[in-house]
Amino acid sequence: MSDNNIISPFKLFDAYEREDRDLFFGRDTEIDDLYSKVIHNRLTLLYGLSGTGKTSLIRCGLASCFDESDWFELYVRRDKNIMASLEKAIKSNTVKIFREEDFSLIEGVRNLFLENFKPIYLIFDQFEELFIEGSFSEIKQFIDFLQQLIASDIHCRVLISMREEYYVNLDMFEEKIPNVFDSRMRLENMTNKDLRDVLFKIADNSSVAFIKREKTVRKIIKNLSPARKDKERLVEQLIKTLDLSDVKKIKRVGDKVEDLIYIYNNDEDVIGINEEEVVLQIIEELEITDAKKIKEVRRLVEDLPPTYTHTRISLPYMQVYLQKLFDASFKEDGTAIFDTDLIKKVGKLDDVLGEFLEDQLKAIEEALGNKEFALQLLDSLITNEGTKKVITIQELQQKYPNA
Amino acid sequence: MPDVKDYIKEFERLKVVKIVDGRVEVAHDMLAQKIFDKRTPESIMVGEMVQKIKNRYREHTNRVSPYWLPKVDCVELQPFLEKIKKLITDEELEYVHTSTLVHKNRRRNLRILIAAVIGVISILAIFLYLKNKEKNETISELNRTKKELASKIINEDVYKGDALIKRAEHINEVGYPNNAYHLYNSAKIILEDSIHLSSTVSIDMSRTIIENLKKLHPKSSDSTAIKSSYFDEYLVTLLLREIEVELNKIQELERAGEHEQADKGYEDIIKKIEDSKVKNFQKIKAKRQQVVEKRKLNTSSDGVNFNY
Repeated sequence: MSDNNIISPFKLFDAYEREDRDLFFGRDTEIDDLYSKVIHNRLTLLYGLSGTGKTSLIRCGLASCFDESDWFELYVRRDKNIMASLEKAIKSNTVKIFREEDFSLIEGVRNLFLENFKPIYLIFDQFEELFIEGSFSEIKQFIDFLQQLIASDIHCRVLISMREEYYVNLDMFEEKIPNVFDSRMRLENMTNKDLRDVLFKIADNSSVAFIKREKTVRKIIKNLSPARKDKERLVEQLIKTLDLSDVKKIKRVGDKVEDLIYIYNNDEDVIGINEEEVVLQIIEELEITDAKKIKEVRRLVEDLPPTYTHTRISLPYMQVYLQKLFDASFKEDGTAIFDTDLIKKVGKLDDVLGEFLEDQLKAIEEALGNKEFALQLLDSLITNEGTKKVITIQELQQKYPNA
Repeated sequence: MPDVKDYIKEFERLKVVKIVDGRVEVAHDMLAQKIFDKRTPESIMVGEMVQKIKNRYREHTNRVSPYWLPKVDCVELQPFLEKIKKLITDEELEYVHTSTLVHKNRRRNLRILIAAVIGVISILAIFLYLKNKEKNETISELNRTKKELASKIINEDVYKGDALIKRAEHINEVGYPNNAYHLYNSAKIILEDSIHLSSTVSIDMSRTIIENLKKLHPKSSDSTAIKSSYFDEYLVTLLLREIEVELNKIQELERAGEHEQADKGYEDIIKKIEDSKVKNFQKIKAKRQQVVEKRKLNTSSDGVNFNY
């Protein structure tokens, strides 16, 4: 990764903040939905897969819905203990000095409201960390706190954001907070259509110019789509079944199959043709007349949807890929041009994030010399569940005193 | 030489990590997953164990009563202990050692308890066995005494009966039949009582008494004479008992494949029935028939033909 990321319009792994509102696209419906839920309920759950943009939706989308006067947000991220993190967040935002023996978290929240006289929005981001690293007694303490807070008359709303794999753990809350699941929202990955709109808006609002915009955007999405492997599989089956050898013909068939996958990914409006038409085009392209062979091709093509990978493109994957394109086309004046030639040059990435990590490890090896240690260091920053965890530099230094 | 801080700063520049207030974290969970994918199966295992130790130790310190690491984990972590040591604190390592020791002690205590229980049960069993043995000996001793006593009484009675009969015969011969009748009658009462007692002692003794009673028959007056069927009834009872004993022996022989001897046994029974001269007695007749049938069945199943 070059230093030009300073002026890159892409956020890479950073969440969008309130001030990025002009660059945050494609989530208008979700923002309205979340806003409505948060203002009408004392407790709201936001959950979704990793990489769907939950943090950006809250920090940028939701935050932009409020005026400064009616929104006091308090972000709480679990450090070693969620109650300690909450206490720290409250104290650092409060003027009043609490005596240790008097301090209760409920009173702390009440005081926060009285000092600011704005509705308090307690936002627990990456809440799954409580279930990954937290002890049972810590979870119990938090449930008790939440129960008291919801039952109190304090003007406070709670928003919990978490990865959906850990959503089921909230069952533990139900006994004391029966309506815990009442107000909830699942955030999904964007559809290809939404992504296309996002890319168009980036083209309109940034220093990146898209040549042959429609085609370039489509190519980017196709390259990132996890369904690309399904296409390759089907083409291989067709080559085997029909004993194809003409490279040009195979390429044309491949394009049609790609169109088909594009359709299966709910993007038929992009190319304006239906599934049956594409199937006919594939048969036509293959120049087969034998009824038996036509039937076989139909079977293969129609078998595609059930085996098709229904995973949409994750936002970090798109961000990393766009950054890679940006790095490859960046000019001194801070502009970049994205076109099909550039996409071809950068190539298709089977594992965008895996390759990103490899590139960075190589870069660090060149700069500092020890790739193995670099990886070891990174390994200290993840949990046994494969999620990230927070650790201080001092702790790392203590852990590797001889580094 | 670059240190940890230099690496972290470089990772931050490369957007792999974020640093906020001196705290570091990987830039995104999806990137964390990619780092996790680079772990070897062994390091995944070590990581899981370290996590478990840390969680358990935290609970242990929060609880009033001890919360040790489960026995299965104590065993499983042993091969990786050297690697685990580097990733846990001294307190956590101490906790692992104590947990292992607790399970070892528990096992030892359990073994001691089991041994103690087995010991107590064994002593109890020996005690009960001895007690039972003593009881059985007392009972058999008592039975033996009873038998001896019964035998003595019977012998005396037989002797008395015999003497009374002899005396009655003599009185009868000298011409005092009425007096002889009284003596016969007395002998009869004594012998009748004895015969009931004798059945608990031995068949032979019963037989002797019956023989003596038979002697009374021709010499008693009609009104008090003991009918022959009276003796027959006793004889039949005795005979049936003897037959049952013999049949059991034959059964044993058949099981052992000694068919010829078994067949001879059947012959002996039939002969014994005929020698007893018990007439018109249904039970003995039926038994004889049964024995004959059994003999036939035994012979035919063996494929040997016997002609009767």
